[in-house]
Amino acid sequence: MTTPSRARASALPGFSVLLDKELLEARRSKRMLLFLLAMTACLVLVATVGYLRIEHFGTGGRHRVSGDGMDTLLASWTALVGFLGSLMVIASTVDAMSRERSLGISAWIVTKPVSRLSYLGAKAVAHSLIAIAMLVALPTAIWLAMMLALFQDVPLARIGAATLVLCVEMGFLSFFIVALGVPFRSVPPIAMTGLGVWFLPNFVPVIASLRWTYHLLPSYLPFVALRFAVADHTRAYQYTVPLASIGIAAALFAAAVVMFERQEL
Amino acid sequence: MSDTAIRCEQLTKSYGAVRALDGVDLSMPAGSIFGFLGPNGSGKTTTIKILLGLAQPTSGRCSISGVPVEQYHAESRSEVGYLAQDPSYPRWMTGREVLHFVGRLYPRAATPVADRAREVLHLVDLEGAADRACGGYSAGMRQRLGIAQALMGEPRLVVLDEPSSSLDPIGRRDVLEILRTLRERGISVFYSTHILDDVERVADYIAIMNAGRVVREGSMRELMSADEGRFRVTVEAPANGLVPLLEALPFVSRVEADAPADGRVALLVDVSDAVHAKRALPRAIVDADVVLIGCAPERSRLEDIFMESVAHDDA
Repeated sequence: MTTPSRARASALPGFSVLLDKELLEARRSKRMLLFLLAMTACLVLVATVGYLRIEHFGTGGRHRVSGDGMDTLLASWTALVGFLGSLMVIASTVDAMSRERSLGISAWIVTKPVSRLSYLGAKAVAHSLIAIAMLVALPTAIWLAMMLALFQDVPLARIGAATLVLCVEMGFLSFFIVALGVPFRSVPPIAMTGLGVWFLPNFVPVIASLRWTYHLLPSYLPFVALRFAVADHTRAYQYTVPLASIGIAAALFAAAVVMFERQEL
Repeated sequence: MSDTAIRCEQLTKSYGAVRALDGVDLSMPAGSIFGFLGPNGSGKTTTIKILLGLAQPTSGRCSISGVPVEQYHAESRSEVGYLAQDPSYPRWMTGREVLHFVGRLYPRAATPVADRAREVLHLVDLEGAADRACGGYSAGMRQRLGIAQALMGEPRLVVLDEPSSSLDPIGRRDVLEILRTLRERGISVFYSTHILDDVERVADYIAIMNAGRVVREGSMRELMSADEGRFRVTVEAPANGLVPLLEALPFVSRVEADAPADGRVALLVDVSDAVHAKRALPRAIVDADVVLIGCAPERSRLEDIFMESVAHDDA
């Protein structure tokens, strides 16, 4: 008999195996492939339309555009990845927990030598990695390659900073939606809560006394990415919002883990 | 290693005002097949969930191999294999991938994962479908895969919740054979089912649940021999006058006649001294010039024991 004390050797038993399973499922998922293709197609369209429509000067294949023209291209990229991407993350993660719980797969898995923290953590980490790879990294890499091929003076540093913020956004949403799968057992309440919490806070600063919240609200991450992409000067909220988002995601996820440990499956 | 695979003491579980378990006491000897019986809603699945750490008891204690369930850390679960009542697996995985996935969760198992998977696939006769996506499996194939995955960790205890409910008669027979094989290998099998005939054929011990309590528990041998005070006598018809003759015997307390069929008459004879009756009863029948076909202690059927236990408890 394995004694409990001996068993405490691993903090996250089964985590890597569960992570592999989630990543394998994503690789075989037609939904993620569809999202990848849709996002890439949108970004390719942005670069192509920009090349054809935005006023440019200079000769040769690579065009120089005005500062405003480049800002328009960068704003289109951040808006697409930041807003369309957030909807895609919610759509791809919304049933991550509920489907396995309704089928009894989660109960089956946690009777194996894995901890519930490993189970939940593997789901959140896997969905974050998948969202970052499929909705930010790959489409952005293709878009950037096109931008470098078509335009001169592409601001790589600003694009890099904005990409980091978009990665934080995908990670936040993945952890948040997976965490929502603990208190809610079906897709509709998870989707409604996820969308509500993601979009409604954008109206909070309309109230003057609550304007300070834009320094903290994760739903401002797309705006922060946009700001990094198009502005030369940074403001405090460009750093506080990503940091606060990481903190809020960690707190929500920790609460979900505590609740999940006590839940009957 | 403990002699007791599972022990529950005064286990209770309440959901609001509903008391799903009401002081469950049970003890399962290691290395045996334990049939866990009860009508729907009697608390079998709740007990199993508590044993596996999927639910917490309201009060009481439960241990596996002597270790209290609440101290059971994730890695200690390698001791236990589990098949759920209605098993479901990721639809996109093949049967073999399910087994490899489960096998990798048991890093301390002695045999390599691929070898273990091959062995259990052979045991449950699922080799032919091992590389098909399990989303297309029939209910019976899912049950077989469920038994296979429960064995992947080389467990010492297997908990099976209705393992043969979706199987045809051949599949059921195969499952019983697998259970016997597991017992031969020293693996304890805790087996919840509605199919009493299956339990009668393989179980060493049983517990009958009703309304959240264990209403009967013991070895099959004890329970089945508990009714040795009744004999079944079969004679050739006509057997006029035999019933009053038997009732007059000093060790006979009651005679019940079945309707004649196929030229035979069956009598159920309750006796006060079974040892004496074994010799005296046939002699008395032969002396009465009646053609005796059979005279043997009436063996209780599990169904009778089950119905009687549940009815007695309900009353």
